[in-house]
Amino acid sequence: MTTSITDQLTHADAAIGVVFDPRVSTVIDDGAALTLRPAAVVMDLDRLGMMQPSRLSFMRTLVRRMVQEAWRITEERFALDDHGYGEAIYCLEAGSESYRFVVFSSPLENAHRNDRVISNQWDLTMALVRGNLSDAQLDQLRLNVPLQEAGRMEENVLVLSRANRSARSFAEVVARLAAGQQPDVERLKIAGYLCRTTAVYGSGKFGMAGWHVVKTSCRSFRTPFSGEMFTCYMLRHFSCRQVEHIARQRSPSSAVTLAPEIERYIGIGNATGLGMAPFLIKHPVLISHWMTQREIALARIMSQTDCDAPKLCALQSMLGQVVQHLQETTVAADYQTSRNQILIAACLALIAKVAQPAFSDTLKRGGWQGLQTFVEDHYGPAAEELVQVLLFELYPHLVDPLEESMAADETLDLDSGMTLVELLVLLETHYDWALNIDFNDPNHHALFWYRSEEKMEPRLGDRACDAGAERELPLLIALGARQCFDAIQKSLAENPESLVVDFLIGHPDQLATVRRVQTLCGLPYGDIRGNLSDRNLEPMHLLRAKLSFFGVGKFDPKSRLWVRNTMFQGAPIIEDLSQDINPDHWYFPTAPVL
Amino acid sequence: MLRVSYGELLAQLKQSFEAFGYSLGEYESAATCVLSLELWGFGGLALLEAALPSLELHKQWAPGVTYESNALMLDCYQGSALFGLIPSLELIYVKARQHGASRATLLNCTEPEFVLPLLMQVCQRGYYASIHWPSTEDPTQLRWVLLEGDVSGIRVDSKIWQANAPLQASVSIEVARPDSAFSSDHSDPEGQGLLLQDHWGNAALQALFEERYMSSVTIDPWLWSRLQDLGRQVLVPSTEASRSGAGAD
Repeated sequence: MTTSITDQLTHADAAIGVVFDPRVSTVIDDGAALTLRPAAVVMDLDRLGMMQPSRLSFMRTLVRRMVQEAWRITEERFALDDHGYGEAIYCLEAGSESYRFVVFSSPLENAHRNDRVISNQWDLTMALVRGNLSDAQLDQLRLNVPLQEAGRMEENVLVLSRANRSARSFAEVVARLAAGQQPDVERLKIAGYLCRTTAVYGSGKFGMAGWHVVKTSCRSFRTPFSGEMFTCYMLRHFSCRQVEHIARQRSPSSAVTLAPEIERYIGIGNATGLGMAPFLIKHPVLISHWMTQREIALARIMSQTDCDAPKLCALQSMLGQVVQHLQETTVAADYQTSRNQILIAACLALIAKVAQPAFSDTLKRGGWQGLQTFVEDHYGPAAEELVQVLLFELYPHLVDPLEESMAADETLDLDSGMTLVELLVLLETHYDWALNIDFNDPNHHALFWYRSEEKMEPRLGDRACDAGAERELPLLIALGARQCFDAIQKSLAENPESLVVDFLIGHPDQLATVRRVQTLCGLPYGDIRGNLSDRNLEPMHLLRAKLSFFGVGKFDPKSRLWVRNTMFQGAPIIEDLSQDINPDHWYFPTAPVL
Repeated sequence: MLRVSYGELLAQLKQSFEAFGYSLGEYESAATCVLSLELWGFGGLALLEAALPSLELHKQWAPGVTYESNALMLDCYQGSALFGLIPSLELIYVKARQHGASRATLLNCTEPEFVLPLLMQVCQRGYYASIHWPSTEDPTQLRWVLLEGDVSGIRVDSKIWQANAPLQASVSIEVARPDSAFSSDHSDPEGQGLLLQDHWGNAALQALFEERYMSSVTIDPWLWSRLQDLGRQVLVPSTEASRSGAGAD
């Protein structure tokens, strides 16, 4: 047995932060104790794959801000040729701030148009720029924005993105507008956008302004991903103007513009692959913050006792809207179609149930918790997640203020003076889900994540047959917890009195895991409870979780590794921003009736 | 010079250091060290440029640690302070936490400036720290930095002292609780006599940090290119099979 080179600290002295009970998490909210759902439920990977967009999703909060603060967006330049190629600049005035959205449209052969991040040609490339644009900077943008990852941006550029025309809808919408007709709504139900983004970059990449700069000095985009979401919103606007322009050039005498109802129904497409998944693992504090706000919103609502007839009626109406939305959603994957069908059936059943006087009376007495329990028991967790976000719509005053708490200091703390026994207990208590995985079973350690040399695209490999496992990304939190646990047990067997610092001197490779465990023991929702190396891993669940925070709809998996979806469908258009409108009417959007 | 963003540089440093074979926690800390030194005006990137050859030669070293009479002796075996010292610095902190103050001597350590950000992290817990070492260029000059702080921020003073004779080539570190007898007196730390330069005042340092933090970082294109070359070593060559298994059909 070796001798510890440190002395024992007292328990109280060694404690780090506030440690939560993983079975029940309680927060003090406006003087009252709120009980949040346990992390074992909220952070279960399968459940994360059932998340729905909500009032707290970044697209929703952005649109609310745009309307509430009366953002003014004007066209400064629209220089496109007959085919829609050229450039356009839009000015955003938001309070005392101004920004420019610059988009370049270039010819692209069909053979070069695809959704992969590793592509290097696009129909549209664009940037969101802070302040005014000088001629010199515009020239610099013309040179660099079309290059995307290969270009360099000025430090007043906040966001860089690109998009392709939809093969399903762009040309057809142009043809119909040129012929004096509105787009076919039935076709828009299938592809409710004209263009589809394949990447949206921010946070200091390629020379752009870092997130810490945007957060502190760009009030309009102070919440996470709001600049990125605004760029997509402007792309949506531009795509509508672009089809109108091409139609007008093609047939000046007959061309019509988009009807406002149609334009609102046109969103922007998005294709997302595995690149989103590592973010969820690498930013546990931020993810915990996001999830906590959702859970606080839910807990606030569960504590309400006004489960009255008007609210139940509104809930029925929303459920009906969800049914229509899902019926109008066309997806490629059978399993997603099946999921949508099950949700439709659950919504219809719940509408009928709520209409029963005996049931609604029960709810009026028991409150929303009774509804939650009923939905979970009878329709399953997917329906439960759906009903939760619908309840958010009934209590905007309880939910919306939480949007300002979505940013977080992401530092991971280290308490090197903690006893090693305490660290072991933290692992046993908070990472039981990880310690229960048998990593000796090859199926539980089958996959690895890595970065390809092609644009550093994250990819999944199979240890049994693919090269690159020696360079895998450090995303396997469950395995890391197991390895740390085993190493601690070994150290404690040699010296039961040792401290974390003693352990780290012998095991510096455990530094990241120790920091993570010590920090996240005070944050209930930081770690996703799933084994990312399991042969049966469904990466789509990770994508769905993050995309729900963005607020996307029409979730359409194309394989187990990538998904198409729709952004801003149903959202107010620019002309609506100056009107006295409800900025939140567009959840689960449905097709317009002309 | 090339201009890169704070986040971009941090990400590149992490990836480049990952290529040295260090673990996640180690390379993240090392990247933060370089960036912190750069932002605080201590020339993190220049130090890194000078250290790169030895970093590539001396991968994955760990200091020899001995502990006697509340003083640590760390032999770095000619390794850079950029790597390998986090647990040892934590040990100094734990000792100070237990006993009020603790001292450490680093032998055979290159680029001792990289210890500064680690000490800053200690000070953010409400501790004092000081570090001094003889200048590489002139071993009769002593570089001395005193740090104090809390969660709200760090205050740093840096001075250069002139000695009459070459100083011992070691790095001295002291960490202390604010309630200890540790002196925050800025006078001559080891009787070296002449104050050559009051390197930074707090206000100037803080202003510099904030200015740099809110703008971009300039970097020698050669160094940036070298870091990118290093970083590429963690990437996996692309094959048709890997392409088909990672996204759109």
